[in-house]
Amino acid sequence: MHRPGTLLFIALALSACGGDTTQDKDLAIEAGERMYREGMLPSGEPMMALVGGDVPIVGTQFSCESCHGRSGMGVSEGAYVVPPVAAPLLFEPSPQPARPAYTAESLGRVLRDGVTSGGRELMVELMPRYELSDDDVATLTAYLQSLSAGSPPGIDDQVIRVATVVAGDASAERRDAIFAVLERFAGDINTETRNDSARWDRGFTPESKLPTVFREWVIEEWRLGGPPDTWDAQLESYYAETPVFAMLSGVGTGTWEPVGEFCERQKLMCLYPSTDLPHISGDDFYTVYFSRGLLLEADLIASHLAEKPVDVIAQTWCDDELAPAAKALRNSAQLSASTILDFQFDCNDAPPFADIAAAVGETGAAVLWLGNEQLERAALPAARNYVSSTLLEGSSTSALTDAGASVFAAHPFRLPGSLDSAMRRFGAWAKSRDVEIVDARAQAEAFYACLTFKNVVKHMGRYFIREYALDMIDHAEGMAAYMPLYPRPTFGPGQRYISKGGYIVPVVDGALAADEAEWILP
Amino acid sequence: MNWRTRTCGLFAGLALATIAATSSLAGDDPHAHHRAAMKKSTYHVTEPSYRVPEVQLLDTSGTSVPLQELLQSDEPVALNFIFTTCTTICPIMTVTFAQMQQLLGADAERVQLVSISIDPEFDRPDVLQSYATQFHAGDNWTFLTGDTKDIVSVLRSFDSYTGSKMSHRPVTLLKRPGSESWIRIDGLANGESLAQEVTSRLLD
Repeated sequence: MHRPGTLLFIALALSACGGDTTQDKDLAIEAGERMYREGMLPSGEPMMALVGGDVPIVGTQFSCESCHGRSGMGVSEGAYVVPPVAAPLLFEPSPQPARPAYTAESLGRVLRDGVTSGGRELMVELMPRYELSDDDVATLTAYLQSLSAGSPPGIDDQVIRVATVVAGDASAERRDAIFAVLERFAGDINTETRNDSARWDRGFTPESKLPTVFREWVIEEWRLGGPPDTWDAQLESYYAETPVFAMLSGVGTGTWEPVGEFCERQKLMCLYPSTDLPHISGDDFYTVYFSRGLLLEADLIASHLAEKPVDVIAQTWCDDELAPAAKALRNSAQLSASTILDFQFDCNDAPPFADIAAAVGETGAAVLWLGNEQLERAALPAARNYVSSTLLEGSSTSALTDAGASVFAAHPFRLPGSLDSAMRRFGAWAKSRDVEIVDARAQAEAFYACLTFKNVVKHMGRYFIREYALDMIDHAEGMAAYMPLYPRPTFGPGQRYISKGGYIVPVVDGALAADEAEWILP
Repeated sequence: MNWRTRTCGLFAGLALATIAATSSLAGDDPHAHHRAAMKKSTYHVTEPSYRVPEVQLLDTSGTSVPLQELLQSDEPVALNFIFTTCTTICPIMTVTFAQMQQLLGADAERVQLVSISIDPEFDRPDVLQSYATQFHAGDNWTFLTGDTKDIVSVLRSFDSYTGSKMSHRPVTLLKRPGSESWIRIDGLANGESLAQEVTSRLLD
């Protein structure tokens, strides 16, 4: 649609994108990003549009990102296809459906009227027709020209470099266990890479070349020592020295927060670290976790306690590393009616069960953030006791057998006795590769991280875009069947803790009574 | 089965606007050819019978809701399946429900809207509550989640189970009070068409 302002608008677009100054350009990109991701115009008003010809929408309800994805690489859902709008595709001609490269002018037309640069009308039921000024279009154009443009470090046609973090007090045994899996998996890939690059039909022009599906995986080990508040500087220094395309797996005993924050700041894809204390944030995009770990356990216990309330709850732990779990329980909104008492103790001592017993009396409950060794040092302190399956590391102890007390385990894993076909698949893989299983959980997690990474790298094709890889994980429902250990995995945009719930399982005669388990989604 | 391809003929009167719009120049009505485009929009209407399973779902306040009772309402019912992190059709189906509610005006009070999440592990009651707020859902609109097993059984009983939420298709189901059969709309009907279907099939 021609409007009187078209020429002016092209001039504006050019000045916004061609760049008088870098600063102007950056400002336009930032404002354009708010339009794309939040549906907010540079004026501060929400974007307005009609969809289906008559249904008004405002930008706060959904934005360009909702459908086209963080990467702008588009998506298909059911029978509908949302075409890509990322710079490498939008500003190039497309063969199918045929259209010329977009210009600022044709972008204005498709946004306002739904007519593509090739003259095709986009489905009115799906693509909203936006009310945008010429300046608004120029601003969005500036962002789209930057969207998924440029190439991230750590990847080319031959090599893909990843980092695996070994943080804090992670034991050498655990570190070796996951590296045995990572290195063997990468070894297999690298063998295939040799065959792949030896194939004759690699095309004569860049467009006709098949994208390289396999490239050599190189794994960097990033060890983080000292207190967690120094990890960020260590990560920055590793990354500056050897930039990587992604972080893969990883192991640590305490908080993962500094690593999660680093990945977010560097826009670095970080897949499935083996951590029990992930970074919790509603907005984080770059790290994908199996679950919320101990923080989920705290919520499971809080939900169970809220259903069967008591006046006094005592919780105990020794290592400072577990403080975030205790904090999550203490601050749980579900327990606002109960008194919650904290008993942190020195890890060299026995847990202060006598003090806890006195504090909770005959009707209270105790939450024991303890491992087997600590639990064995005294009789259970309360009539109702909660323990953590994560800290018990899959084995329960005879210390949990107490005729007079009830014990419940927070269990964010599949129930014992249930068929875990993904775990079996991992077992078969390990056996055939001669990988010794010494830490089944961490190793199966590392294996799943590798499977996911292999899958997304393959589907990225020639587009090396981290956000695209992450968008693909969001839509790969099929990967759920391959996830070991964790119950009911579900994926979706913005879903970064893949298994959302867990069980509260009664412990009877020292073992988890799977038949009586209750599934809780906090 | 009563298959009919329904071309939204509501905009036949806008034929002149269409001609104006295709010239892509003039037009006092800035949305003329959006409306014209609706001529191409099709959806299918059938009248199958479904057995609603005996399940308890959860509303946005976390209260248990027996689905059979809710759908046996004395009021006409309009039902759809959505999930809050859906990337294509759900936001549109939800704004369309909202628009239909507006277009029905005073009659909106007489129609019970129900949206059931097909991603119940993520869409907990609080998540659905903020989704409802985001889309300005009026009264008489119940958002439901529940146990995965129950949701799958609901989807299956309405012949809407597609194996994965990523192959989710747009379906709207309407029911007259006391009726055994449902009016099933496959496809993305716009607000006006949906309001028209509700008015002509449920409210007359």
